[in-house]
Amino acid sequence: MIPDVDEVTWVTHHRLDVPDPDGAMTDRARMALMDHISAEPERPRRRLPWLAGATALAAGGGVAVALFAGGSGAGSGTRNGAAVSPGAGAPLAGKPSFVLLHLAHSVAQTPALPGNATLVESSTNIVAPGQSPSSLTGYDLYEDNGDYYFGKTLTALRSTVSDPSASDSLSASLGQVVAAAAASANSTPSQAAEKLLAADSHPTPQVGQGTPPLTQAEADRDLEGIEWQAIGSALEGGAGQPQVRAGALLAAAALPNTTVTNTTDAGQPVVKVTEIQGPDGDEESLTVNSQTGILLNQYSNAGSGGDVSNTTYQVSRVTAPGLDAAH
Amino acid sequence: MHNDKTDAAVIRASRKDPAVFGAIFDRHWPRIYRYCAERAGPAAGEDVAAETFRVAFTQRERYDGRGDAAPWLYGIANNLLRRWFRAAARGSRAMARAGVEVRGEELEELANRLDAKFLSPVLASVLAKLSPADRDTLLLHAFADLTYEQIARATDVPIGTVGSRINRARALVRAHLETLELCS
Repeated sequence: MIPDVDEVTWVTHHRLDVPDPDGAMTDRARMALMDHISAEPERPRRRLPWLAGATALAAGGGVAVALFAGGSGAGSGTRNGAAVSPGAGAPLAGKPSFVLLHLAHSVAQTPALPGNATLVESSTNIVAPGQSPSSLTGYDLYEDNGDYYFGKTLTALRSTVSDPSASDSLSASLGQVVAAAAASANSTPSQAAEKLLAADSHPTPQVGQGTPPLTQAEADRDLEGIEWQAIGSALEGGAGQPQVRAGALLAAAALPNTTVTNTTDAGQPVVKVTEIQGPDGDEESLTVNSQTGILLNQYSNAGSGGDVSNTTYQVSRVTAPGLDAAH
Repeated sequence: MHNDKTDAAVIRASRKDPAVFGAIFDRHWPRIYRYCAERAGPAAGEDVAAETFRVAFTQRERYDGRGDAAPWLYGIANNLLRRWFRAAARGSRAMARAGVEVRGEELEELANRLDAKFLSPVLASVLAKLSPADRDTLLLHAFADLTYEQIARATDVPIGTVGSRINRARALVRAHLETLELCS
């Protein structure tokens, strides 16, 4: 007869008998760690090479709004760094997007909505070469106190929220980016961009790093990519908080290689920020409501032969833990 | 000072004040040491466990922000153990061949055998037949007492894959137990 024992228990039972670590052993290991910690070089300060122009030209939201008042209308587009539509005027070398400045300024004045959490329903469609298209849906709940929950369905999310042991702090990196965006709501675009970058946890791309070694242009491009991701993260993680949205939009206004367009999506006026990066023409865009700055869509096309991803968002304020709509 | 904070909060604080990371060591050292020692023996286990915390400190910016850092630390320890078994395999075979380095599949096979060899003799005879990934998964469950979800975090695979690996490992152990029964 086969022994009546669970296989895992049997393995556990037959492991080596190892005594607990003694004091000397623990001291050695702790000292080695503290030596390692004290030898850590100071993190290099990241400086976006394209911010110098933006700093001088975006001294305040009021100026930007006044300029915007006579600016682009629906369907027009302005490229940060150069005008792209006929009649849009002289090239705006280094100038931040007036559309985004205006929107950020407006959003920053918006009072916080009721409720104690933001519910984000997202639906992502992914098309990868040689594979069947796939889609992902889910519900993210960002509580104002920093707790975060996810559920594949609303029912699953409610169940998770009702179980206190399932609560989790917002991912450290995301939490810092959201906080940095909130703190940037009344900054200049360049200050907002720098704050978001400083809060982001990605390592700083260094010239000469990697194989083949990064060139200056590649390092700058990677840094801009990190900034772009931080902006998207802040708009998503802080979707229910006007100050976060304002800060993220200000940071987006500082990006040099973007096109900002006032347009419509499903009949509602939106602002679309598009960035084209890299030799393969990777294209990414963020679409936000033109009044509230709330994130509606993120699109990514990895260029020739790459994946295409399209995510739509529905953002609402709710009251946790029941997730009733907040009014 | 940081006793009331989650691991995530401590790791986050250590970005500004690196010495705070010592609290992560204090909380998890005994269990990480025990796991490494059970896998590689007390001497190598101490080295690998100590290295686990150094690597964790260096990689703390990549931490996923969850409250309990134990699965993350076990994941780092697992990777370091595998590297240690490879290094040991390379060293032992290189000595035997008077300095000729082994590579590729031969090295992996030798590392795999060494990995099993450091377990107790009765386990070594059974678990040597498992793939490294299946063995790691089983031992994280049996030695470190991690749940499937925690193992998924530690090894960065979907939870379903963890289940499949444990099922395969269980089947092998069960077959061994059946053989024992037939021989008795």
